[in-house]
Amino acid sequence: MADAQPPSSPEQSPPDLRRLLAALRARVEKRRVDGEYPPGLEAELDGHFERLTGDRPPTPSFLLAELEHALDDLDHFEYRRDAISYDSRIPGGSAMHRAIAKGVGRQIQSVLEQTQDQSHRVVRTIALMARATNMLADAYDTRVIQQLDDLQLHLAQEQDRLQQVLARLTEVAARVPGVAVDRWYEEDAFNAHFRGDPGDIADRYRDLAARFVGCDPVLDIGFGRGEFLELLRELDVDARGIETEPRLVEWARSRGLRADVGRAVEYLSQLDGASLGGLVMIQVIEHLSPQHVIDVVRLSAEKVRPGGRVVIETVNPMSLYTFAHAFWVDPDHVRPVHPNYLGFLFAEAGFANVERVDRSPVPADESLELMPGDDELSKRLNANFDRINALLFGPQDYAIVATR
Amino acid sequence: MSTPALSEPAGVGIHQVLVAASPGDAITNMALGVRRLLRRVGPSEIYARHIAPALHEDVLPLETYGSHQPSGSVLIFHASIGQAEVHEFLTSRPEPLVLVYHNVTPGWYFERYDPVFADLLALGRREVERLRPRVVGAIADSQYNARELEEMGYSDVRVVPPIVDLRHLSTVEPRASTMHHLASLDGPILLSVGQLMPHKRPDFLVEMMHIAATYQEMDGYLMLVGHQRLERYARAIREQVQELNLSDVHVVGAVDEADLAAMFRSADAIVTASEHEGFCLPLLEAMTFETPIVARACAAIPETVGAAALLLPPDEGPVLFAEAVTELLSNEPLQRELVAGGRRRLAELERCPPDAALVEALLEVV
Repeated sequence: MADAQPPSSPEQSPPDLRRLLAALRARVEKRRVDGEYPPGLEAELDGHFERLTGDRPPTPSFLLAELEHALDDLDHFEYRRDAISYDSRIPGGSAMHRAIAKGVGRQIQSVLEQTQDQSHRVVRTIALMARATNMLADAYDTRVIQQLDDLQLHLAQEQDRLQQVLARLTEVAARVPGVAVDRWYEEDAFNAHFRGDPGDIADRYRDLAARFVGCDPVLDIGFGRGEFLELLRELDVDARGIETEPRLVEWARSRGLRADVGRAVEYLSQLDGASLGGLVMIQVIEHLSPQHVIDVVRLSAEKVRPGGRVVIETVNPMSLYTFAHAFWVDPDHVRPVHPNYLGFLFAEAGFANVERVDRSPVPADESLELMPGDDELSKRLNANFDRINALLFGPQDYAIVATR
Repeated sequence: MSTPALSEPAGVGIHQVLVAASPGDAITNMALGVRRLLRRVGPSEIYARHIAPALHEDVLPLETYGSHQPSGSVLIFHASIGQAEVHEFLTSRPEPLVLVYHNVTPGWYFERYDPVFADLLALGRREVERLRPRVVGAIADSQYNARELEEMGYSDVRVVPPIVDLRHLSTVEPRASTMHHLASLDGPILLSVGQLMPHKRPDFLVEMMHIAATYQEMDGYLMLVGHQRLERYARAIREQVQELNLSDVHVVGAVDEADLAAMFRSADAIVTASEHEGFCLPLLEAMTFETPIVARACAAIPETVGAAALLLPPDEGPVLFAEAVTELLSNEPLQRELVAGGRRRLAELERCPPDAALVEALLEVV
């Protein structure tokens, strides 16, 4: 870019040069229109050079080309006697040097020839080294590139497999009850619709709460709306609870209850051994996976001190009535836990006393009515009715009360 | 050679001051030419702040310029890059000061490659401005440079072309091996002579060669001859050549006179895309070899070349340049016309020898 207008310019050139310039411009313009010069050609070339002037390391091929040029230069370098300087700071020194040089000209020539010869050998050696380095680099490149290719292929296969596993997992998760439900409705609405009034519930559990008197501190896992924690507070039992829903925790805290966000197995694992006096789970165990069920029992044996107590209340699968009513209403229920199995687990875990308490009897008017008569037929029918009632209309819940 | 011992003060005379003296440098060459001229009439020395080893015999360190100079001496300062000590020296001396302005390249060309050098160039321009009150006479080696001085507030600027032997290179015996090698090339040879610096725009010439080779099927060679002092920029040029796959573009580097003479003699055309030149000596040398020139009409180039070059507008890109080169290589009448223009321009310069002009200018000043 010129800083100032030049004193003469192409327009001030002789007329034939000016005409030539005009013709050249017209030729360029025509070629641009005809598509012989691609649009943006000059800008693209400028951009290319602009990128080269940025901060970046030289490419290996560029370095190799530089090395080749340097070797070529070295190879063509010639030692010349006429390039030897005879300058001197001593007065008359230059003439003296020149005279001496003339005198020893043959020797100098011989030295120069030997030096030249040595220089050629050095060049050859460097060239050989460069070739050897190149070959090594090529071999290394080939191997590394092959390995990289293999690795990339392997990675792609693994990724593919992972995608398949993830898809399968999603599919399976969607089929596992209590895992895949992403609720869009309010939990409160569900509770109001299917569960009883909190006051009634509190009444229903007063007897179980009483079992914890003297068992401080008590941990209520899955305290829900906090009715059991409130019962324990009424009984002056030191208690705290955990819930997975932060909203429920906040709500419990607002009522002065001690509550934290947490999950059964994780939370219990972090507690010190024998640090609990009591552990209660009301209508919670049926929400756990079979693995978590046995983990909870094992952990309760670890964390509840000897003499302490565990109460687990859940739906009674021995009453077929429950499957027609409560159990499958809640989409979060994973599977019912059989009282015999749960009792077995506690006994195996080392609890001294394992007691089963039947709870929530089916309303009498919903079970089969017995025959009024005392005759043999009535007796036999009633005995059958009892067996059917026991199977169909057994207590809806049971509690395992285990003492450590 | 009447070189005084280094500790002795210089005698009464007309002495020159440079920031740096190095062999082959245009300003140093001119200072040596001026000294030859001045020594015909009296003592004359060259002082520099930085002196290349090869010139230790010829140029004196600035610090040896005696502080008790006899009155009557005159100092000539050749302005180039900024140098605080030289500036301080010039402003503190009582001798009348003559400024010779060869132009200072705008610093911004170098900002991205060498910010320190860019600052020195900018400082050089500021120092020329600040020296104005001390200067009794200003000399520029081109109209373009004179105009720049006038813009800085100088008046009565005399224009004296550089005192150099324009025909020297054409009398140098070209190296036979280089001549032989160049003669073996199977295509026209374009030669560009100048340091590989951003303001000389060798990148433009490389782009031009790409266009000529790709879209005009020109099988020519481009030789970029000149020092590669700015490594980062020189590397970018070499990479540009490599990435555009231009095997017929050679970044030759600096060469000696015998090789340079061989190249000028073998070249079919001299090309330059330079955007900033205070004079541009290689173009005059091209005329002494009777080689036609293609150049961009930037800075002092149009006045330097006269009718010896096919001048292209500064705002045109490498496409037009490539067309111009292709045209020149195939158009013999045009080649003859430009060579004739070169002869006329040389005759014009030689009609009024710069030596006489300089003496006249100095006499007028002193």
